[in-house]
Amino acid sequence: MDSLSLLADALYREEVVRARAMSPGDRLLEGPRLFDRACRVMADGIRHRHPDLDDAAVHAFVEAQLTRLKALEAP
Amino acid sequence: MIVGSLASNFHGIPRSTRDADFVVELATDRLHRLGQHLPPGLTLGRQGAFEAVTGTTRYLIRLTGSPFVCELFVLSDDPHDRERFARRVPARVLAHHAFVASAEDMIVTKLRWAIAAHRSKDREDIRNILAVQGTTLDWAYLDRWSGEHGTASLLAEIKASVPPL
Repeated sequence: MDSLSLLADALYREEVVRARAMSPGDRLLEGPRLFDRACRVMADGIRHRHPDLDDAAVHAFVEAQLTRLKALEAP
Repeated sequence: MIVGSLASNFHGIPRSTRDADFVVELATDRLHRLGQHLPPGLTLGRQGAFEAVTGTTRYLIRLTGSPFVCELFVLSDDPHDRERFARRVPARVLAHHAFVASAEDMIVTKLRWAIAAHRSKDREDIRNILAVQGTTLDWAYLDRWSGEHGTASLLAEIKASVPPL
């Protein structure tokens, strides 16, 4: 096994250990929390590129990006 | 019953999700009545959409000003859909009593989706549930349903990709 595969396996093991240390309820709630954080970061990026946009326009941009990402989920 | 990515997170490794999926045992008229009693800001779509894998109907609940959506899947006549509903697991979520699809049933469902919809996230979710749940899984149950659905070779392939823990 090459060193990159060994590293990937080691990182994956760490992820599994972290997940096992959380309660199942916390793991469940982490999904919407991560999504909320991702949307905020996406909105910050849009505001950085388009400082003149108001909140509604930024929100529309985020929605459009999410729609494009969803379309990429299935080939 | 909570299904979809929230249930995958419950049994596996958490990942970001933009929807909360539920299987509901409700007749269409009662679903519409539920829509009339939702709190302000939440809207139940009037038209259900057909979902091909289990042959059920899907309704969307939207939250005003948020890209996050809730999807309600009406309990179908699909044999596995009915068995996973019967095997649902009680859980406490945000201090409320809830039911979640079991780890085995999440794997069985996601194997079907991985093949029908070719979504990489389904394979990843299956791998993560296998890794986190380890030896606690009911393999006789997994073998039975994956054999029935023709997904056994995919299950074996994903199982082989889990490194020793």
